[in-house]
Amino acid sequence: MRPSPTGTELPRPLAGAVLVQARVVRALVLREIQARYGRGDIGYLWALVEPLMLLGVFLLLFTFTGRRSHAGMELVPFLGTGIIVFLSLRDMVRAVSSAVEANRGLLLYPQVTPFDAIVARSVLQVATFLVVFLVITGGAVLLGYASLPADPFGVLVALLAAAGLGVALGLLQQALTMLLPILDHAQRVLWRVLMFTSCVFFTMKDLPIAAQEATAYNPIAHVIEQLRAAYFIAYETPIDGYGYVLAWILAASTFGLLMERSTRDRTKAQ
Amino acid sequence: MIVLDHVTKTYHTVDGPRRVLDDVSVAIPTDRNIGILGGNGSGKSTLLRIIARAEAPTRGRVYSNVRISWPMAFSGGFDGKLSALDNIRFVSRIYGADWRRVAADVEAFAELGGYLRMPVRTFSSGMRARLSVALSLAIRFDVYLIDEIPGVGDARFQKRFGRAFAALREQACMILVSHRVQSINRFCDMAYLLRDGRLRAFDDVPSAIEAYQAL
Repeated sequence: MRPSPTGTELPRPLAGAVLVQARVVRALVLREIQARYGRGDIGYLWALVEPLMLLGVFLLLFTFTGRRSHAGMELVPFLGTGIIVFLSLRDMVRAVSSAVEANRGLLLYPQVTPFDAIVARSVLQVATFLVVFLVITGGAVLLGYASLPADPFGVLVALLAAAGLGVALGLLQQALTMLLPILDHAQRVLWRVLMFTSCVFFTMKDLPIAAQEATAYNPIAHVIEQLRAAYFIAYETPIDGYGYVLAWILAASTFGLLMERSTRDRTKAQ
Repeated sequence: MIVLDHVTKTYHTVDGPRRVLDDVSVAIPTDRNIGILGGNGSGKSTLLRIIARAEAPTRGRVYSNVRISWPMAFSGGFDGKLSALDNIRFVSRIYGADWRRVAADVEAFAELGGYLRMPVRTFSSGMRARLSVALSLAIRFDVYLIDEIPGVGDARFQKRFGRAFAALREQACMILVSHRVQSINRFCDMAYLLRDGRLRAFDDVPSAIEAYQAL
């Protein structure tokens, strides 16, 4: 019938290969968005509704105890920063760690690799996180529940650190559950514990010294503390810099990616 | 031409390593329809994925100067939650094709009508098969890799695959992998026999079938 428009296509120069991967990642991202909207439930809105509901519950609890602010921070942005970062991190870890498994059927297309599935979900979750943060804090500012951030650049850095941590922890969890599947159950319990130990609805400074030292091992607490320190003039965190978070990001993503690399052959096979 | 150069594939199973392809070197012509016969679990599908480059061999290399399709399985390969159109968009995007053009081509050949916007899980197996053939046809390859053709009986076959399969055969060649001699006999010009990790070539299909049935 018609002749094929392209002859040989497979041995490509590096630039071509990068282009193909970009094409694949874009296609995966768009596909995932379609899949979430097409399910008939509220799809993406849930990313916004869940933190808002939790924020509402904690606001009620705090106002019942007669508080208008917490350590000089307005309640809505104080709770909002903690809740949005925490829930987004949890969703990021879930989405990234299950990326390969969820897209296994697509690995039959030669240009789709497990790494693309991970990149696509990371892009999508980070974008969702940033949008949710922008919409909720922006809304709170417009409605007069929050002032503008004191140090917008510092806020951006903290958000990006949170995003990096989420992706890295997702890679780590994927690698760990591959080694030891029972850890998939353990992580559910772990997230419940983390909810109460990550400075979501209190600050590091509220804690006694011994508890502060223990909490300082939790990298999620670090990014939430840094975010608040950048957002509010009134808050100074005992956390010193991003060194610890960065170490987590590097160690977790290196381990996760090495595991992905070493098992890629098997992943593609099934 | 598709060249396999000392291709070995080993899987790690609970019973230890299993060599599915054992140092296979072969030049597969792409100007005629090729059949690959082999029993269940003989590594036919693995061979197809390696030819498609959906999977890397443990050792050895694959060369080709033709555009090769993904390994088509007529029953699956689609996300059931997504509509046929969403699946068309995804596949078009990863191959860098214009999805509107591809969707129009699929519509012309798949005979799916309004079902294009329905989730693929609502499709009958025949509709899935037609979608699969029409989509890969619309992306335009030189060689189509096909993992078993279900139901080759005449009237039924026509109903399941319709015009799409006829157009595919007219436009390009295929490499068909099957454990059933009827499909190989009907569609292929030459055949290989895959057994114990080795690939044996037969210039004519009847002698391949004879050797296969003698196993």
